[in-house]
Amino acid sequence: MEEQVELVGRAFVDHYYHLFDKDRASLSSLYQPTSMLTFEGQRVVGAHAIAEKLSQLPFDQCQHLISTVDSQPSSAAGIVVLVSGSLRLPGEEHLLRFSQVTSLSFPSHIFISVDEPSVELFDLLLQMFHLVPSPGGSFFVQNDMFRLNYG
Amino acid sequence: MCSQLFCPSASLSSYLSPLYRLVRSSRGSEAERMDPDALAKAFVEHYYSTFDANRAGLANLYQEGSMLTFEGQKIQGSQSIVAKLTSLPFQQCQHSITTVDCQPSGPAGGMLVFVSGNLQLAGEQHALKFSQMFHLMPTPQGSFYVFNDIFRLNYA
Repeated sequence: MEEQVELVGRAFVDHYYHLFDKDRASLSSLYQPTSMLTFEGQRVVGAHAIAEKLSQLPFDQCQHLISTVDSQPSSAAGIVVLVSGSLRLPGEEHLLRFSQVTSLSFPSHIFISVDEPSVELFDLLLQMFHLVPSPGGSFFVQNDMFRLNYG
Repeated sequence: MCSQLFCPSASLSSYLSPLYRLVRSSRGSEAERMDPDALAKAFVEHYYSTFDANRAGLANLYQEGSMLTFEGQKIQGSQSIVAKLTSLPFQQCQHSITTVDCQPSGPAGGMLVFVSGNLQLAGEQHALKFSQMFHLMPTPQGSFYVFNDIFRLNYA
């Protein structure tokens, strides 16, 4: 079970920051109307407002470099993830360090069980990378909190 | 009836901010009626002051299903978690909190609390920077306990 949760957390993180760095607008697909983002203390609710906030950040290009990813099951249908890493902005000499908490919610029929990796988990990973169409009610980011870690 | 916010300790009130102590009522749970941001702040103050004064006192903030990931190491259950925290290689420490962010976590009434700050160990010249995430879940008695706990040092 532990390995499953860490696998899903890691797959999500890779996917999330890949989208952020390559196609920021498409991040909106990961959020729903009830999703919340707190970005450097500013709270924003809903996929539309979150996408707007992220697109208005004062840089066009960026690169996230991930140092640590820790995941835990937060319920029968959810995972919480704590990420730490660095953010490279063009023209900036120094990397910005950051930490981020995200919680993922899954459709209730997909639960992380203690048995061998399930077919549902495999399907979920494929959905994350948009390799298969997701049925109504795929996973989504319920909570998202971002903080720069100043030196 | 006076409900206890996080644990039945008689010294609880000394950890809570004066503003919170003024918010009391005879009915319902103080925790339930509290503004979430104030609740998160009260929890953070209580958690770290307990950690810094007497780590064993953290035991009743966790339950059997609670999970801690401490610098990548996974521990489950209040007993094991407290054993891990009390065996950390320092006698004295002081947490100073820089940021606290919180969000409700879903229909079960849980709350995610995201903390960043500094950890000063006795005898060390420089403080260590850390990030920590708590997922608080409500108890039937109207209190909260830590269900998920993830701690990471932030190295330069």
